[in-house]
Amino acid sequence: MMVIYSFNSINSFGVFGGLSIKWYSTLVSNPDIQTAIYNSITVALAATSLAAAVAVLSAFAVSRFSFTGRPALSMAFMIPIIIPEIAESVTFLIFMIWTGLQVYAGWVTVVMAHVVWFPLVYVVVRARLSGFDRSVEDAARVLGADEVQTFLRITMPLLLPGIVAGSLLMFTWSWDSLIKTSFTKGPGFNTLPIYIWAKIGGRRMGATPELNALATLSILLSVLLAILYARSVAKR
Amino acid sequence: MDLEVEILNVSKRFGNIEAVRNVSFSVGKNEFFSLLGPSGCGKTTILRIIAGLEEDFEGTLKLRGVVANNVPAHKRSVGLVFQGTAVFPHMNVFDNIAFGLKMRKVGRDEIEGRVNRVLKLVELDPEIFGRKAVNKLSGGERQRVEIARALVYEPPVLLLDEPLGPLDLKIRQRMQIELKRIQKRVGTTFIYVTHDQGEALTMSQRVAVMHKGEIQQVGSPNEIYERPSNTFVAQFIGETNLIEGACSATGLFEATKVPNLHAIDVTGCAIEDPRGKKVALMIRPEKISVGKELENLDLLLDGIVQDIIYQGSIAIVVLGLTDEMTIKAQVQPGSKLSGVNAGDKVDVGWNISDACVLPL
Amino acid sequence: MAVKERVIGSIRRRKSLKIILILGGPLALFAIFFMVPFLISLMYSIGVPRQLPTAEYYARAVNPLYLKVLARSLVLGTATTLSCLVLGYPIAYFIALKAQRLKNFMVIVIIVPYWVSFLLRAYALMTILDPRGILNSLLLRIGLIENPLPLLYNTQIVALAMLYAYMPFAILPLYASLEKLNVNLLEAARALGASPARTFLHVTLPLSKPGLAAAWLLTFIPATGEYVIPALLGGTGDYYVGQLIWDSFLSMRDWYFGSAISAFYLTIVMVGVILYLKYVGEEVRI
Repeated sequence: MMVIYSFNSINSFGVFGGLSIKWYSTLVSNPDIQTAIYNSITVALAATSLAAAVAVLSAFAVSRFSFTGRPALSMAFMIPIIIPEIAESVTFLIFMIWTGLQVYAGWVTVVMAHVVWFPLVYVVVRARLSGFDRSVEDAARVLGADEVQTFLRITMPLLLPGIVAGSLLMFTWSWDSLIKTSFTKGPGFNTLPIYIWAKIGGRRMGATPELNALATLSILLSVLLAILYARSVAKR
Repeated sequence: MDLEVEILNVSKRFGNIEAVRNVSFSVGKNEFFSLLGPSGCGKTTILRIIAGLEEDFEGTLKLRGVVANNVPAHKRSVGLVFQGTAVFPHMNVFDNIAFGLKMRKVGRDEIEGRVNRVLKLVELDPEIFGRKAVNKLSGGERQRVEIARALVYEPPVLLLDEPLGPLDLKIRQRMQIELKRIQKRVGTTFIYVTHDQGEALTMSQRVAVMHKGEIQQVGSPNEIYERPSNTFVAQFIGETNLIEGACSATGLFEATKVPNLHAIDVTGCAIEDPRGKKVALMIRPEKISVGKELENLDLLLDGIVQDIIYQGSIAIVVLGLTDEMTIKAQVQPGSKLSGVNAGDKVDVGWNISDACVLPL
Repeated sequence: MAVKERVIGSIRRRKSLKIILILGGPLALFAIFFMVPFLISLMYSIGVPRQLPTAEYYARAVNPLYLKVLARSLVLGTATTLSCLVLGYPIAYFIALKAQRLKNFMVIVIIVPYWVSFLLRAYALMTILDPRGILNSLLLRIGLIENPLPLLYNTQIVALAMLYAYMPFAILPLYASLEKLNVNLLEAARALGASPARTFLHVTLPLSKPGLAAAWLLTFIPATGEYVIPALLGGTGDYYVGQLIWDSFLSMRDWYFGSAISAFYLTIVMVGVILYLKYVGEEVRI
């Protein structure tokens, strides 16, 4: 079944009307697309980094300390990713206007809005922390590392696989985000999904060769990534 | 004797549970000291307090004469060894061992030298093991890496928490000898936590027996074995026989369940004054003589042989003194036992000086 | 130097200070960027900034026209979730319990399409199914049909596309839960005389409840609020809550009404979720 789905996607590059690389070059040299891709990348990277930091800190605090309202807070942290994106995005838009943040509309607001998805990383880190064997931390402390050093040199490296896994998911959400980005970007700022959306327009349109080329490239890229990932897993 | 570690009236609770109750003892320089007791007796908690991993406790901890209650763990000069389970999995052997030196800001060249030296001390070839990944080591090798890691920065005190637990018997025995050798060689004070009394007795100069958060007795292995201070220690260490009874005001012991055991002057073999108290007479199996006709013993009783268990160099004879009371004697199978079978009536006896009177 | 030492020492001792230091930033961020917007939006839904609190916008939301939209969304959400679970469970089961060697590979195969931007995938579907697209051209050429099939812009394709899009969200939690299943339990059941069917019903299924609950949550809630798929692939009758909210804000620019609709929709969904979780008897462990 999955193969069929993949096949469906791959089919999209059949509509080239004569094999030519012309559309690929048009695609690459299109400045709008370039900006859009650049924006998508920077936004996703920034949002993911911030989200990872926030997630690690909060996961650490929640799992290592007990304080009143801990279970409630823990559940509250989960809400941003469970709630439907539309509902959540509109609240941020209102917030932007209300606090006058719209002057920063664009990169800054979009990143701010995306960071709210940090629970994607939080959940994974939290799970890893709860099964964590603390004797390595004890050993480090007795060996002379203070709390911060222990955290940076021992705890973090051991949490890294989880952080990476969560961050990958977060990056994907940010990269793919159409709805939230549309609401929070303000005029003139485009990311890739927004560019594609604009090109697709409403309904009833014809195929744009450039988009086909883009689609093909995307598929090739993800297949490549998949192969790389499979290789690295197999090596272990 | 210079005191390396002093524990004075230390208590620690976890929630409602008192893990450690008013414990006091001290450990001298270069001493091999064991904390011995069953699981849950509080010995690991004490170790963690010394290491600085438990912060809220009552009482005083002194390291080298200086009060150390509030000194954070990373500032104390102690080493801590687990069961090989706390080696850093994301570092190789060298980096694991060098960690303590790095934290103390030792220079790179010096680190290299010291790490190699300590690897040789624990008998791991630096050439082979130096850069090895930790997950490729066996349990025993990991154990040694932990020891090396804790010793490399030459702490005056090394704390060991049941380090030989998961190892196979043969390896465990070898490691006991190793640890003793290392301790003598380096001169570090060892504080060793275990539930295995054989281990504690073989390796230590002094042992503290703990039970339910309290110290039962502190003494040399010989003292603990021959002169236990209470019934718990007597039963926890080795095999023993306990005969309940009471001591009169004049110092005469009378057993409650053994009719012929009475009017024994026990004032000489009790730690506390036993007069007028309920006591138990303790006699170790190897101190009991069994035979058809015994002579020259302070105490002689009749017994019926219930079972003889040959164990090669020794034999355990289970004897019934009365219908309810049985004791075990450990004898060397030889002429004394020839012709003795289950069901026979024999003489059982021992000397008062070999026995001990413990409070009940 | 001594001052710094003392400060660090006092921080080390006071647990509350430590918590504030570590949790402060994240909590502030969470509060400012998530909770506050929420509260403001709630205020908007009762018309506050512009006027005194009023239920006017909620009253408008309860109009049968909009209620139909909401109901349609709930139906779509439920249908998507159910079909994803029904189809996804066997797949997850197969991968977790049967395909020993290929496990990782299969998981990758499922995730890879997901890496391609979702929009592009929807777009690909469109090009294929368009009257001038590949599928129709092919069928026409073979002679199977005479006129291009109207495959796009109807509810069926929306439903199918939803199923396609949300499958991974259902499969992955189910897989994670099934993978942790202790196979010994299944063997014990069989040894005790249970047929494969009964083993599944009485052992496997109940034990995969956490996975089911998670899969349900991750599918149902986003599916009801989906905007892109109905907007791209749906016909005139396919108007759902997602689009309603989108249009309220970005087309009609009636933020008050949009907030009311949004709050109303959220409440219904969350109530449904809570009821479901209670019914299933699950405690979703956070």
